[in-house]
Amino acid sequence: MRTIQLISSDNEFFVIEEHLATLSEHIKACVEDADADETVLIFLPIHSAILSKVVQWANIHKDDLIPILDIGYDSDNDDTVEKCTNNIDPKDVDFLKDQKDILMDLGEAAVVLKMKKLTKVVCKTVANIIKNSKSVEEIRDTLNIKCDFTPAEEEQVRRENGFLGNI
Amino acid sequence: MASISDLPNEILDHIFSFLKMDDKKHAQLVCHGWNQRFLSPRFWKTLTLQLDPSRLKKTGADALLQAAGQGRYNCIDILERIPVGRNAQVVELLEACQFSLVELRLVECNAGTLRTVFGTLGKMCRLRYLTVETTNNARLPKVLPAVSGAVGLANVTHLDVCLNNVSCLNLVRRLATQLKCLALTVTEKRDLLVRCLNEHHLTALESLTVDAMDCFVPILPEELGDRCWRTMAQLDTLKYTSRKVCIVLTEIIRNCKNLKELAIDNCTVSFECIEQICALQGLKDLTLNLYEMFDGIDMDPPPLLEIPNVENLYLSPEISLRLGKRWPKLTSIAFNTPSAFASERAKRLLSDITKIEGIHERRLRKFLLKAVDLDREAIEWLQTLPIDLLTFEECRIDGSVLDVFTGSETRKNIWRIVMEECTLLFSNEMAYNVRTFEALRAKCPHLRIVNINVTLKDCDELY
Repeated sequence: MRTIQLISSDNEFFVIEEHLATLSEHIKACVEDADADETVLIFLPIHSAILSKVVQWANIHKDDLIPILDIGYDSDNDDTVEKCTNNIDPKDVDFLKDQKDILMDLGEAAVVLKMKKLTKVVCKTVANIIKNSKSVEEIRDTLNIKCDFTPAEEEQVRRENGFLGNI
Repeated sequence: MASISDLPNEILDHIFSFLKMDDKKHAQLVCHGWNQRFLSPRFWKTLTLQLDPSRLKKTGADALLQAAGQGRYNCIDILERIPVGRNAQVVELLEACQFSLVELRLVECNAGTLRTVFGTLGKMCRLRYLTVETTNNARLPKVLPAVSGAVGLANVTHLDVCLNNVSCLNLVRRLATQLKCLALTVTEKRDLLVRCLNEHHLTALESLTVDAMDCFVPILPEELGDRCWRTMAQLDTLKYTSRKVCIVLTEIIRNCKNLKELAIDNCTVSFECIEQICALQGLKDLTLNLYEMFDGIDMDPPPLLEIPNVENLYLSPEISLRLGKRWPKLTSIAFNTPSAFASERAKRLLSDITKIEGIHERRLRKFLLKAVDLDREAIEWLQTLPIDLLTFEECRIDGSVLDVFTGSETRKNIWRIVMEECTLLFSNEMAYNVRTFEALRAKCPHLRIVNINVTLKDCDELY
């Protein structure tokens, strides 16, 4: 049987089942050429704390009939459904609820591993954070962004961005 | 711990694409990096400016112009009648976007606006998609400045126009050598369509859409000439909508030898036309939304449809058609039955599908049934097929067959089932209650149910 092992940036090993390979384009590409009984080692620039979360996420979705997750009602072509942020899978909402601190790390990992579904979930969650913030300061606080505008610049953007409301 | 600024720009754009305008206003003020994203061409590409008279009131117009100067609109829609006094503003706005505008739609504009807008089109150096939607009340002016001028419009490859006077013909003639996609809507002036197809050989044309729903007198094959057939021979895509009887279609399809996509809507065609369609070896997408056939239903056996390269098939079983056995590349099927009369035929087509050679060895990506009556027999046929996504829309389904969905064979073959707006019929003998659904959902994680009506036939008691 084929074994897939992921190695994190701090040299921890994660043995994963084949189903995770179908969730990640990156792993899929690595595994593709391997023989059926080979052990595939994949080195990743991801810290073990994050990688374990990704594996945990993949396990949550183990029973989801993975190959078809991207077609049907949440299909990429449908703009109205696509741009909606209140349709996150309840399992993902649960999973990400207490993970605000590592949300961006998960996003980064999802990009590295080319996990479309996870990327989308993270993006929607971040969009929700922005949407639910009452003020610009609140967005900066929650997402830990430093304001690099001088007061004059900020005033200028504020004056000019009237156009966004008119689109 | 990573910060949001560590994420690549594409992801940031992805996140922003979920935001509404008010949220975007906030987000723009967060930091330099974010502000930059909102000014990037990629962001502007996703925006459409919809210009209607109310937008052009005094205060709005200034803000719009400022916006046009700041960012660069790729796509502008001009809707309804712009008051004469505001045309100058429209032109000003268009000229502010002259290096960015790729798509322009003019919907029901009056002649004055059209004339002014066309006068400035020559400057839109990147314009590729041009749509002029006009009905009887709003016609293109007789002379269009940009059409008579020698410069500009060099990049327009997609034209969507309603043929209601000679200036439309001139527009097509002006762009004849560069058009790739042409969509024509025909009003009562059918002669314009005949002239349009006959007078020019559209050398670059790949896709032709003809909507002749408002054309009462059918076009006859004799009216079309060599130039038209030459254009047809190079087409990739043909979409044809017409009112009732359509003799010319047989001849058109005979000449379209290189079609990859064909959609016929609402026409009545002959058996011979179906034979011509079957001869299209390169066809990949086929939509037959036919009304009826005029060769008589009872006189001949129904025509057999069999095309080796078709991947996506959309049929309306209103007409009497049978499916052949050889569809080696078929991966997506949809049936739409608008009348109860057709339901029997839909069932027959279903049984035809299960007889296609090798269908059980490959996976179908999508199978959609719309407004089909399904009994146990039909469902049992379906569950033998390997399907990624099976969708029922507005179907009437016998409630007693729900257990088929929980069966192991269905679970093995069909990855996901979606039922939308369906009606489930239950008779008295079946102990139906709300729990049936709860149980069903618990048993089938792959089943998704939206808006189901339940009809209890001959039931003494409603649960």
